[in-house]
Amino acid sequence: MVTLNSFLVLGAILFCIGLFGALSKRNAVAILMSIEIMLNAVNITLVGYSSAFMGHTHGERLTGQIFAIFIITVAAAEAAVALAMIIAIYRRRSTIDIGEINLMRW
Amino acid sequence: MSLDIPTIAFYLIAIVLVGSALAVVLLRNIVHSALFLAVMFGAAAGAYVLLNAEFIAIVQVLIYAGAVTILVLFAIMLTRNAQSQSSNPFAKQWWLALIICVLLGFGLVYAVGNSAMAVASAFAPVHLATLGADSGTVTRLGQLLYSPFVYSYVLPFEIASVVLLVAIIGAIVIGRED
Amino acid sequence: MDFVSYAWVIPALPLAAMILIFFGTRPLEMLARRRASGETAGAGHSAGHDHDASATDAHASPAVSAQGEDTHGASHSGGHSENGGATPFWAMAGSVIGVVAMVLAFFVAVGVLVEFLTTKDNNLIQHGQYIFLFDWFRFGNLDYTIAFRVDQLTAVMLVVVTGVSMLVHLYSIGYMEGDPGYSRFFIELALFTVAMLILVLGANFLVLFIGWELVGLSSYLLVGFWFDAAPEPPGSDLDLPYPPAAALKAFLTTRLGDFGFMIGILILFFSTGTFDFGALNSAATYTHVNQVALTAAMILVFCGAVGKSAQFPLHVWLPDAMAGPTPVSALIHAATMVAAGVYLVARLFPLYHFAAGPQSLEVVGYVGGFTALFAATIALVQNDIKKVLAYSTISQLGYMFVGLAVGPNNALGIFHLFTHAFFKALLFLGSGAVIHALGTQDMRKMGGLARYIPITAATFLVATLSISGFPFFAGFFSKDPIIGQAFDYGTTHGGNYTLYGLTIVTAFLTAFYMFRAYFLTFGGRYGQIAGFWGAERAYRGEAHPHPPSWVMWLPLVILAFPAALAGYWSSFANFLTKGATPAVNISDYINSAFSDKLTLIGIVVALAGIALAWLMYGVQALPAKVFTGNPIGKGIHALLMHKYYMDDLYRLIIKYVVLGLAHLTVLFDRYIIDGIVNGSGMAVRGLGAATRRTESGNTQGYGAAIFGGALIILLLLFFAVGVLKL
Repeated sequence: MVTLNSFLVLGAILFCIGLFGALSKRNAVAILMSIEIMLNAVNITLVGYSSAFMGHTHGERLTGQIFAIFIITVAAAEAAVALAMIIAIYRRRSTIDIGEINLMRW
Repeated sequence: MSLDIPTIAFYLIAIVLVGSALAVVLLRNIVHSALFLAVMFGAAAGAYVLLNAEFIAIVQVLIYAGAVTILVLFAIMLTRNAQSQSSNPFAKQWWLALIICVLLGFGLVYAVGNSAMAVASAFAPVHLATLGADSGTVTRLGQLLYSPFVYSYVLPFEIASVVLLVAIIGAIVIGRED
Repeated sequence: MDFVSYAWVIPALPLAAMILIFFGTRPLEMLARRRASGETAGAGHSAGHDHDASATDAHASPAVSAQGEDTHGASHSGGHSENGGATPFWAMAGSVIGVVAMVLAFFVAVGVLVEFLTTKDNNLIQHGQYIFLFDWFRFGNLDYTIAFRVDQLTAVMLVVVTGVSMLVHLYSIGYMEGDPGYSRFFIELALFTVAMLILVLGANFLVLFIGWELVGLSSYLLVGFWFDAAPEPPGSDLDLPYPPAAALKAFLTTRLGDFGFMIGILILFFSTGTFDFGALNSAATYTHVNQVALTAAMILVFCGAVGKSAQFPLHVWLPDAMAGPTPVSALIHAATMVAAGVYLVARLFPLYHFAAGPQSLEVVGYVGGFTALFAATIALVQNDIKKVLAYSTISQLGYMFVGLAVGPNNALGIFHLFTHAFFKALLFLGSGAVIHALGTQDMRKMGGLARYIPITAATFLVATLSISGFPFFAGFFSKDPIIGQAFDYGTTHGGNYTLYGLTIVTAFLTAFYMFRAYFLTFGGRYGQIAGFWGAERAYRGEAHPHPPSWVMWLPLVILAFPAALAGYWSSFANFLTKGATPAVNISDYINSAFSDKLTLIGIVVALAGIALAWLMYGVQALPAKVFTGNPIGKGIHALLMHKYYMDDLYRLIIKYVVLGLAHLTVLFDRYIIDGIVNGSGMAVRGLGAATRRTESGNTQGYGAAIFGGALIILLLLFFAVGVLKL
């Protein structure tokens, strides 16, 4: 029996995997990919809620899906800008290892 | 636990999702990571289909599996560093990240299992049985996104288009050679 | 016409004048001045030339500075005939506005007084007119209202204040002619008048205190009016105070008394729950109050009066306040502001007399009596004409307090206040005319001036006779009853005639030093009428005296009438006590004044003082060496010349006690306060040095911190929900 819980747990696990990647990788592109995993995890959760409360008893609750669409939109924009930044940084410093990108250091 | 087709489909998709996500994170070669990312995006599209969100599924395939994956691959290609043996190494404090993520994961799973929403889900199971039977949500979604007459998200939608425009220009400005 | 209800117009008029001058004529004057100085740049005699230039000009003129007697006061008031120039048009317009406002205010005040004199309305007679202005704030069941109350006492004070102020305004047009601060002077004068009127009109302590502090402020401003004057040149023995220092001294010394005043007000408020004078003075209120607290409160309130009315030991500021322009001395430091202390005690007279213990009025009486004698002795040896008048003022204020202390009601003290305001203002304005004519205030450089400035001399003589208690003059009718009452007070208090002794000796000294001042200034040897009308030969100065203009002598002439005749208000006590004492018709009044043996003693004493002064200074038959030749006399003279070393004593106290405390405070500040401040600064720096290590620039570290924090919050929530069952 697949219930809402199944999707929520799936989303939580995916989120944590993405988070682990975002916190532990050194390659900036890998971090971006991990963040995309996290965003997908959130989308699954939102769409899961949306579907769970859709039906005759609850009416149409499509807000979750709307949110997912906006997240995808913003994620696409974010990916484009972030990759452009990575390329710009690479061009200037010949590395995309964020351990070496520490201009914010005190 | 009844093993009907939607359940089997769910577990298959879930295993592929988790497995490909782990591969993205753990693999040492960044190109492999990127390819598994595409797999993960496709599996997520499957999950959306299971949830009766056909429109999201199609958007997922088009934008994520298509566009974002290509973008990422481009970025990898353009930032290839020949000297390093491993193109996708871990940072020094990976163990700290691991502890945090594992504990957070347990916390989230525990919370999901004990929350009021979980109780609500008991009487509102995802009706996967209607898989493919009714695709009326797309129409409704369209109305919700940009109907000028009924309540809709038309203003955020328009703003989102501006955001995309800004992102395009920003990406060009940041990424161009000067 | 219903003048009483419109009494609020009286302070509103000078206020309007002040605003008009401040925002209207003064800016116009300054604009015109800038234009003029642009046209005649370099011409030192333009109306707009600055103040320092005039001071140096005066110093440079050989006739004055060669004598080493030049004073900053003189350099402005006396010296400007050569180099001051005329008053600018707009400044003159401003002063005319001030005068017109004061004339109108005076007429309203007279209307109020006449209405009180003629009214048959018993309610008005008994309770006066309450004029509500606005609620300041309400606090529980306590109302803090800004309100005026006009009663007989206020009506008398209104006439005194507006009358003297009106004449001083007029006089100042002549006296301040060409002064660079002309408009400012009239603004400050109007401010003072407003403040003083608020003080006397106030229906409760709050309003009175507002006026009380505002008159202090305007006194400060006006004493320091020539704030950029040069300090006294070395070699002068007139002990002329430096205006800014004098202003500060006046303000701070008064504040010392106000400290006690405020505590007294608060004790009264906590005991009775009201600030309102009507409520405070009603037996219904004060009979429920602890008498010890009330006595203490009344003595503390008297502290304020001691400061404001320059009584011993806070008298030191008044002689120094003579650094201000002479019209200011006449208005503030003779007629009105210094009388505020007397007014305060008179206002609270029922509390003093009936409610508080007898100690409170004894303190008032003995402080007043002692001050009267004390100041009179100092006045004996002063060479500065204004200083003589200043000490005389202190002495006369002492009389007023004695009058309040010994009298059965507040009429004795207030009557002396009433008459004193006129003759003392006249004396000051007369001395101002002399200073204006000569450019000096040193009496040793005067003499025989009656020939040069006869109107001034005549009016000055009237005032001198009045203050000396010469029969038929105002001072006689107001001062002799005080002395007589002091005798009766001694009789009823077990034969303790201290107050009587103090006042009668002071009466002698007053007659002596006032006539000494008169003879030194206007009279002298070779003169007509046995030296009373001095001759040219008696003049000891060099500068040629020039007679005052009409704006200056007209106020003198006007003031001479009340200074001589104010004493004939026979039913003053009846009026002031709201009919509690019987009305007296004028012939009974005069008869009773002369039928008393005590009065005759008073007359004899006054005449003796006048005679001694005449012998010593009028015909100079009795040289001063007779008294100062022997060692004891010399010692006393030195003691008096140094004002009993009071200023030196205060200087020592300030030097060792106050500055010592200040040094302790500095140490406390440096090591404790600064220690805390610097310590917290160091702590923050240390904390910053420690925490900046976390700012590694490692974004993943930041991410880990964010999600680690989220995790901690999650765990805390689990703990709270799961374990603590919150």
